[in-house]
Amino acid sequence: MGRTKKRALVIGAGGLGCAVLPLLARQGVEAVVLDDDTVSLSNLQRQLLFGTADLGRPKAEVAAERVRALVPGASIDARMERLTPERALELLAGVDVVVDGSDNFPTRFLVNDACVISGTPLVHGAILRFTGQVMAISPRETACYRCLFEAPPPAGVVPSCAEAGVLGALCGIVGAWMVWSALALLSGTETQDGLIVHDALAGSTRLVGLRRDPACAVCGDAPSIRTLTPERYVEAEACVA
Amino acid sequence: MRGVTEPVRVVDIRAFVCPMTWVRVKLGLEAIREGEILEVWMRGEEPLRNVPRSAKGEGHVVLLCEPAGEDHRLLIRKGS
Amino acid sequence: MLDDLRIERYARHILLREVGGVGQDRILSSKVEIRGLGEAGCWATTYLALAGVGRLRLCDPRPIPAGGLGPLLLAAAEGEPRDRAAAKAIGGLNLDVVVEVGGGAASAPGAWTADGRGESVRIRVAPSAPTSDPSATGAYFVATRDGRAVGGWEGGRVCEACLEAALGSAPSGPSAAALAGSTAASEVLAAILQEAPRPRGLRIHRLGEPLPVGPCPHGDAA
Repeated sequence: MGRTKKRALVIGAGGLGCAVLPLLARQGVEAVVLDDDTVSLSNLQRQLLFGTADLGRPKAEVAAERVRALVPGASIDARMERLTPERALELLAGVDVVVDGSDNFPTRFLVNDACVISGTPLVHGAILRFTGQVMAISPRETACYRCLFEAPPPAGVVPSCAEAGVLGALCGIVGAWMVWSALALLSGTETQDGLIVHDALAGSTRLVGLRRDPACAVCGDAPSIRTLTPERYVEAEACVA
Repeated sequence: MRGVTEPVRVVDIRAFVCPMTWVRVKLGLEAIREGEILEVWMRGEEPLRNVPRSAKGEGHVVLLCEPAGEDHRLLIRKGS
Repeated sequence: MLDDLRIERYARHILLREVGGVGQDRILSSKVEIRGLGEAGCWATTYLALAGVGRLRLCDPRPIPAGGLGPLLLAAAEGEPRDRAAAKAIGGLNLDVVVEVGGGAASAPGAWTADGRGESVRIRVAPSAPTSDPSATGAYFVATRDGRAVGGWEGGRVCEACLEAALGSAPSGPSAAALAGSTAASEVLAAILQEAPRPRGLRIHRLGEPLPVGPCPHGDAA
């Protein structure tokens, strides 16, 4: 291909995206950041690329601006859009790693399935209250998100951080682990095979070892999920902000 | 002196959207003592679904949830 | 203390059962001193400022290196004193935070700086009330070098030999400083919220239980 720089697709310019983007930029990784939302006041408690003057502006755009100011010469492209089943595989073309900091289950499953189908390495991250989790996924080699969580939970069962709250500094902790994992996937070094779980109250980080599930619907030996059918990723009613 | 079923404080969250709905109720509960009652005025489906559930999740007791015109009125007794 | 704007800004903290309005008020009333604004110090400072720590005292007069530092100090600010530039940056992030710049050239940024090869951060949380047990807060210490980081709540001065040994066994990676700084902020916030006594002693940030650095055998730590 002739391209020496690695390229990451970062899903979401929220708490995790904001922590991940400057770290990737400082490592010389090109980034495309996807987010269709605008900056709101309750974001500022943890989304470190945004200040009071940015309220109302598109998050992806502000994030890219801020990263370029922090790291001159950073290659970062902002897309003010949401990842959809129709566009996912197109957006993944030419991407070396996907870093998923999205905040809802349908998107997490869409990202996972798109990465497995296209064979793109993926780092999943999530935060809630005082805990965070990170998973490095090499499609069809390690466990994928669906190996662990077969399907999105029914709406209202698992609170989002909009409902349950989250410790802001946790974004930096989880973001750092996500970048660590992304760089390992990019360089082909061994990643931790499983789910990294951090508990900020206990101050501990542990690894829940996982293996690929041969019966997994998307990365198993006889996968039933081979295309990104939109009905499978219907957005549960999301809380605003 | 108020009786045990009289609210000591009222919170009107009809103008707010999630998550500020529960945040306002939570702050209202912080301002009263254990055993006292908070009255909440809500509008729309989201707070109806989330506020009673969040209140119970934090150890409070939902005494009443009744329609009041287009809105809903909630009485919550503060737990420990 | 919590007006409408603050209720919205800190909503995600207030929602936490362990925080609430009472906890956020405590954060807004807290005083934290940060000595040392390297990469880790900048990450810690950023998250403490976003959380609304009421008073931040920053001590590090060294010039910002080429390329800026962490997520806080722009490359364009190269050459400016780190503490002053950080104070300006925090103004853009959160006006609830009053920043003092102090220390001066004579004060060492942290308890340990290994002749420029490494960075250290010492974060001191001031006791929230005169009757508080001072050992409940105290200083959180971070040291980073060559992509490795250690941190923890101090019991006393950290001996350089112990630090060398700890750093030698810490995992290496470019996000080590971000991890250590963010963990420091998380620990400091937990201490302010008084969420269980924080575990004492220097620890290596790594996968698995944080590895404690044993009691100093060198007789140097106070």
